[in-house]
Amino acid sequence: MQIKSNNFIPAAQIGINDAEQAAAVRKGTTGAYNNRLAAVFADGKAHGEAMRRQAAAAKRRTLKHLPDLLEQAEARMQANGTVVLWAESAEEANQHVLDIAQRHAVKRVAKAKSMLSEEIGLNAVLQSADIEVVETDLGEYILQINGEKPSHIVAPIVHKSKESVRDLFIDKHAMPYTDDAGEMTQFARQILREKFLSAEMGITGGNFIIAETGSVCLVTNEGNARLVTTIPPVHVAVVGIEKLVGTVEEYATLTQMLTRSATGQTMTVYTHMLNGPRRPGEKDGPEHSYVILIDNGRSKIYASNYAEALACIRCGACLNGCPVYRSTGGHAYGWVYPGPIGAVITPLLQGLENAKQLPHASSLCGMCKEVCPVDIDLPRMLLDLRHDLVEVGVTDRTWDWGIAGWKTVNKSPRLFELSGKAAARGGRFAPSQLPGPLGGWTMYRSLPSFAPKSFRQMWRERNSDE
Amino acid sequence: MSDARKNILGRLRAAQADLPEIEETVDFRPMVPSKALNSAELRAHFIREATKLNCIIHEVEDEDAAFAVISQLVGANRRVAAWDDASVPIAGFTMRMANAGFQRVSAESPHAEIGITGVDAALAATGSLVFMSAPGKVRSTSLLPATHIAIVRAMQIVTDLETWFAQQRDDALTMFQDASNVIIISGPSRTADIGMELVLGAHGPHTLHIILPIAHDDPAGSLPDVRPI
Repeated sequence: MQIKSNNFIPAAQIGINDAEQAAAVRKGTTGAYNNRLAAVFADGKAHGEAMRRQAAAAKRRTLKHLPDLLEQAEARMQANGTVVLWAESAEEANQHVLDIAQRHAVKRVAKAKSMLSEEIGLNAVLQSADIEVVETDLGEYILQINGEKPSHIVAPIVHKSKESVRDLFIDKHAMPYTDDAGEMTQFARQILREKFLSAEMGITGGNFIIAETGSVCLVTNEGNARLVTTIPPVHVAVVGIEKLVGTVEEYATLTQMLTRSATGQTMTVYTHMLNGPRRPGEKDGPEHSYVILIDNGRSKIYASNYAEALACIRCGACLNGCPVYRSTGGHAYGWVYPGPIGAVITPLLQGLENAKQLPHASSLCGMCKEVCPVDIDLPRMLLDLRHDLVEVGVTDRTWDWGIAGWKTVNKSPRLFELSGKAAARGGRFAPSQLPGPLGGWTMYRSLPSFAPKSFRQMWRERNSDE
Repeated sequence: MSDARKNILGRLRAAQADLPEIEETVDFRPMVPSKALNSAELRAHFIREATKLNCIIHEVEDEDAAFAVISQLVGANRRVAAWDDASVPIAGFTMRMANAGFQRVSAESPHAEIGITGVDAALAATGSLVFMSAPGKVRSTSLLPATHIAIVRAMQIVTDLETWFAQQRDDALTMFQDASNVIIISGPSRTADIGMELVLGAHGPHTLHIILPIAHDDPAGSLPDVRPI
């Protein structure tokens, strides 16, 4: 997927000014935020925090042993009858999927929601080989028929109102008029059921892979991932190498923490553990199962000061809690992963120079860390990324000039005092709207009025009196 | 064959030492703190949680009563898919269906309107049902029809996911890994994608009935063993 993260500020303004979208995002994120609070702390604050620590430790342990767990998972999956492939890059991953599709003469793919597939741009590659790809998550399907991208990693159409979905279905599929979300869902269900039954290949992501059993684990509510992994004869899971977890006990903690943090559910409707192709005598389930373990920049993060970011289980809680995300919506972030976690991993995966503004797309209020089910220190990483931006010299010029000016004035007592006097005298004459780049300040705030006398002046006067 | 595997593992190994060592968690706390419950309390807890998830619970006295409820739910002229007898905890289920005049289709049929299954376990803490695929326990039966009827034996109810995994651990996870597909179902299929409004029946069943025969201590042999064969 093409990256547009350097366009954050104008894109954020579009999101903020779109009243319909802003209302939808506010409703969605507020609901999810409140549901999470109720679910994580249903048995008290202390228990909820203890579970967060247990989940955080499980994921940190995974990271520490990641190469060993990957080998263990590979061996287990192969024993289950799954073909395991590795991909260093998006191109290599897509080529694997394409090769599999061509090997099995696939014409139609039914796909469950996968952010990694967005990251590697899988759909476009398959479509250019004349393979039909149908997104089957209701939200993703709506985006696909409208040529849009998801704006949230859990609720892909959190930015869309019910009315805009209705108009889209009427426009694209001649749906009879209705204002009922249930009828719209039934309408899409019927269209998509046909697609499921005729697809030759199903593609999913993976929320976890349990290393000791080789199980590919998914959480879904709609049941589309169940159809995708049950009906087509071929199943392919595209999974990031960081999605491992060591044991079933760790998995039990993490999968329940994931759903509580994402939607406030104790469990999703469908909690899948996939152990390879159907066994002899079974009448359904895929005959061929493939898992593609994808790096695409993750091992580089692993070797950096940001390795902790790989503990993320993609629950979206930091998006729902972030005052910036809640105002701008997800599209402003310009790539696949929005919100605080996106502001951290987008520059890490795509290069700082391609996401210069994202480390600044935060007020560092700390909410993202507070709500994180695995306690990732996102504010620390955002600060470190700001530091890196300066180190590698890819900050905006105006910043550099501003900071240089500030430094000069503050290093010299004379200049400092002079600037204070100028502000005290000149402040009265300043226009209520400052010109140029300074206008951003006065657009929403009044210019502060400076005290007529500075502290230094008062200090001098006081001492001369004695 | 590319070098992807070697390169990825090589890069990870080179950096592995820099990561902090994390102590093993010895005693995993369960997500839902639970005190020891007797079987009646477990059952009550399961019913409460499953009801919250929009499941419809039918408590019945015995197998005959269970089948009577099923007959009523199926009604006339609806296509029924069901698991094999060995996996449905009502004796002679196929025969009973034939006698009742059910219109049967194959277990994996996309035309079924009602799917009838047993379960492999039920989790009280979250009102969930556990299904482990095996011959005779077709996955589509609980997935394609708009209505799913699951029959749960009282002794199949365990406290929570953690307890169920501990049971699997007792047999070295062998049964778990032998099942090509393990699925935990918590309520009927749902979505809230459109306008954040809850809708039941997105892609899976919109109605989930759970039939729960009262166990008079669940005497051994009175009900067929529904563990995977």
